[in-house]
Amino acid sequence: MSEIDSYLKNHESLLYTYHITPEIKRIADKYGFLEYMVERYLEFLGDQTEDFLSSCSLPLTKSIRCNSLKVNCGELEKRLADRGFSLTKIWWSRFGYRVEKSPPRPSLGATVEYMKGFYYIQGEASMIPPEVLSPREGELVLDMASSPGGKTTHMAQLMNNRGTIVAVEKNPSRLRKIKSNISRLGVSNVVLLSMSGEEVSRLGMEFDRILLDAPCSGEGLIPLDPSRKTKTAPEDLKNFQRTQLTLLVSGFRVLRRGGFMVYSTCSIAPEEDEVIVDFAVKYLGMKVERIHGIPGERGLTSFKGISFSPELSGCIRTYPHLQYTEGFFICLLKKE
Amino acid sequence: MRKVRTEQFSRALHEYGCDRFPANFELYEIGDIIYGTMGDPNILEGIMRRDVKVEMIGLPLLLRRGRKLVPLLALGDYMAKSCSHRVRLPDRIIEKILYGRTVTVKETYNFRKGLLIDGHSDFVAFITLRSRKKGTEIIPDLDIGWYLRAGG
Repeated sequence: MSEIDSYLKNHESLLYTYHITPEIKRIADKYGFLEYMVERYLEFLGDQTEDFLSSCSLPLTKSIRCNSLKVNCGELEKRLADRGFSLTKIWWSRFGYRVEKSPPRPSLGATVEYMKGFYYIQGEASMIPPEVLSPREGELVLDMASSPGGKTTHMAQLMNNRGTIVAVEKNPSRLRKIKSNISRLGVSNVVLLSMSGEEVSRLGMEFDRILLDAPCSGEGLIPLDPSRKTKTAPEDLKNFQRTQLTLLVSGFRVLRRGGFMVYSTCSIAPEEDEVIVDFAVKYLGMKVERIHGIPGERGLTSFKGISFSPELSGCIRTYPHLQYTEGFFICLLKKE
Repeated sequence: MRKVRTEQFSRALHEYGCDRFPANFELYEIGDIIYGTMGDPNILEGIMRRDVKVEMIGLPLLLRRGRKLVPLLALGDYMAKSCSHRVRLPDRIIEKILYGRTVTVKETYNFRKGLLIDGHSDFVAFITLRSRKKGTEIIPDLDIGWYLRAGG
């Protein structure tokens, strides 16, 4: 049995046994969520659970990332203001803006500025992983699950188009979207490969930094897609966990010593977040670098009777009822 | 996939009034598209030696269509800065072009292929110009509205 198999087996009974009480049934019914999901929320959100559940029915403020590769951000603010958009700068982000007010026409995705590649429409929390990874000019960076290219192009922007980003994506239907975004945004330092992130060792390279924005259940995206309230079964979570751990190990193997990896998901499920990072710490010997200067709640250090490494409090989680963003998990790891 | 030299393409861009290749990129040909990148050449050579399917390297700049080379949108930004066949039109006319419509303007031009730019001097479209009795017909060949219509 592989290390991943035994790790998953060891945690299975604690993670996937649920005690559904009448109160849990009542809350699940009230907000339209699956009962097992609510049981977990009560465990890690406690008395904030209903705040969270009700916030999932409210729309999120839209946000954009100004593309400094093509336009001066002050100039973009002015041009969009002339069209009736009102932007406020996201204080912790180098290029992010909240769209506080929009005109009836054009829509945010149909302006001439959008077509020119002056901005990318991107959830506020999804701007966090590239900012935390902070790739620098001249570095060799791996993006292990690139679609649809928002974080890839964000990293290229942070690198000022210098250095190389190797972006991998297996799904042919997703490649078209990434290619279009790379072209529109004027990103010239990305090599896009049609391959799975699990195969990256075939490249025979060592990377300075790696972004593993892992495929996940999307449990943080419920405000954007209410169908996710009832979409994911525990069995699906198990499948995601296996994929996430496999990708993590693949990424670890091609990360240079002293290099950094960001592990992130658009899920608030601890099964896909802390459980995966705890494997990185305990089995791969990676170190969690505490994230500063980004709004978020601290990573969990225990869940359903499982104690995680105390370092995991250095990771961050975002929630719609607290940060007013999509739910996200972000952790910065170092290979010692 | 193979590395190619900019000199091969200068002629194709001459009809747009470009006297040299307008961007400082390393060029690679994959299938029928020529890509340009500022990525590290050593790393790129390393990837080329591996048995992996490279989908793109940097920006798609030119498309081979039979024996002809057609510039792509990403190259338009660079061409609009350094090539001479520029046509500047007001934003209300530009909007029509972005809906794929042909327009006629009263001005005349002494070239057949041009780069349409807006009031901010930003690239908007590759165009064909045809002389008409009362001016010039402007036909969009490829415009940035493509990103909405077909970009995925």
